[in-house]
Amino acid sequence: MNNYTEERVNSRVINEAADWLARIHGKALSEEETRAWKQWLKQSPEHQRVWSSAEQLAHQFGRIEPTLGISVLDRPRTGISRRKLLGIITALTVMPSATWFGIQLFRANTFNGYRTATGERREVLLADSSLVVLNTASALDVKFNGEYRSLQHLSGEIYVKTSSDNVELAKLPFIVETENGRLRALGTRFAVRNDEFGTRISVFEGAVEIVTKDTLSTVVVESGRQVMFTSRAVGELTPIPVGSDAWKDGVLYAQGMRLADFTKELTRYRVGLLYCSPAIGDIPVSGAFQLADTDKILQLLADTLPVKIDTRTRYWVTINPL
Amino acid sequence: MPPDAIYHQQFDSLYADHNDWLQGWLRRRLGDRSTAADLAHDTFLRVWAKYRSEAQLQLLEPRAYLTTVAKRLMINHCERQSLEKAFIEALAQLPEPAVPSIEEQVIVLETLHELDRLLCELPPKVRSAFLMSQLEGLTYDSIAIHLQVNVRTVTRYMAQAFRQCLHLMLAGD
Repeated sequence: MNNYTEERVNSRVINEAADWLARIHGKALSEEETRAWKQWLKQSPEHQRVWSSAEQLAHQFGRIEPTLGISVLDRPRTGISRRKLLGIITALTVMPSATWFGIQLFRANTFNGYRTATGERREVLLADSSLVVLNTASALDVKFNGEYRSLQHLSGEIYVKTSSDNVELAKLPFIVETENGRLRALGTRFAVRNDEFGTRISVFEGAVEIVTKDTLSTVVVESGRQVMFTSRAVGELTPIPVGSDAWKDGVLYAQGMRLADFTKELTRYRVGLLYCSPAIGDIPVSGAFQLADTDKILQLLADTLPVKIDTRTRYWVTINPL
Repeated sequence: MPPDAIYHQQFDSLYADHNDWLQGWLRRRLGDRSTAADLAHDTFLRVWAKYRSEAQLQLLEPRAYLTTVAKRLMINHCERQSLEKAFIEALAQLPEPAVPSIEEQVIVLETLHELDRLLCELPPKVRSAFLMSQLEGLTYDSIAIHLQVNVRTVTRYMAQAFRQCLHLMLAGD
């Protein structure tokens, strides 16, 4: 979908946005840089409009499975240079009407969907400066209106760090809707994971209130605690295991985890099939593993445990006893 | 005569005088009669839209003008085909569980077309760097190694790609 605007956006703002984007994707900004970036964003509605296009672009990339995207978008080109040709006939371009622009912009500003492919991780800065990290194979819609800040968590796992930098927006309740119920952030840092068993909420800082969807039971989860819940029931509050949010830094952390469970966790980050033979399912695995390269993790398992990796194809891998 | 009627009349005669010729011109280049007819039709639609948006349009060299428009549509058409071919080939390479449903395929294909439009003008190395970062999530260090350039160059490539995408997104085609 094209994001047209009525008047031309200042090239300087676009260039500055591009420089910020190139820095942000390169490495995490320091606190000072983050402040400078926020200052930049606050300068004018035009700055925010350019940034919302950048978010839209990220959203489009998020829809594409990486391998597929590379083979299609990086395919060898025929070498036709369109630039000269386009230069001659730019005058022919037909622009859609102003009414249509208005609607597109309105929608782009109030509703945003984000999605990650398997193995992908994505950070999203929301309009109120809150940070959301999407783990592998996750989907999220963001809706901010005059009454609340709302995230529709559709699948997978997200990490949220709410912000009160924007005084106006910070007054609005911060809500996460999941298929099993509604979460209200009373504090600042938490993670939500949806899987076939239910929704798990882990609170790292502050507190989060759960209201289950069908039974409307209310439970407050305090900092350092996690709990599973379904639309009808809330489980037992337990301490958060060490490293359970390590994924947001691209790390899978295991401390005596059963190989069967470890393998299951790993499949979330890999396209294709990955099986662990039941005979070796109980072997304990410990360590911090870089999720960026799951092949390397498998190699590490083979190097350190009495197992071998049988690869039939890149997408069909079995872990067997030696 | 009201201005609209004049436009219609001028356009009618443009169509009558040149449609057959344009279809022939396209057919010789594409070797396909029905695609040629489609693209000729699209060409006249573009010209008509231009007629309406500009208060006047004097065509001194109507055939040169028509072929300029048609050439552009032809390139779009070829790029679309090459993209779709690459898409189908890439789909066939995916393992069964990773193949998107038909509905998803339509959305993915449309998104690919839009991204392709944003990226097609970029130099190959800039495009590759950008895709490695945005699709594969590679760090600038790894991209630098892949492309055998230094990290500062990768950062420059990234800024160039973002600049181009934002310009096209915000200014329209």
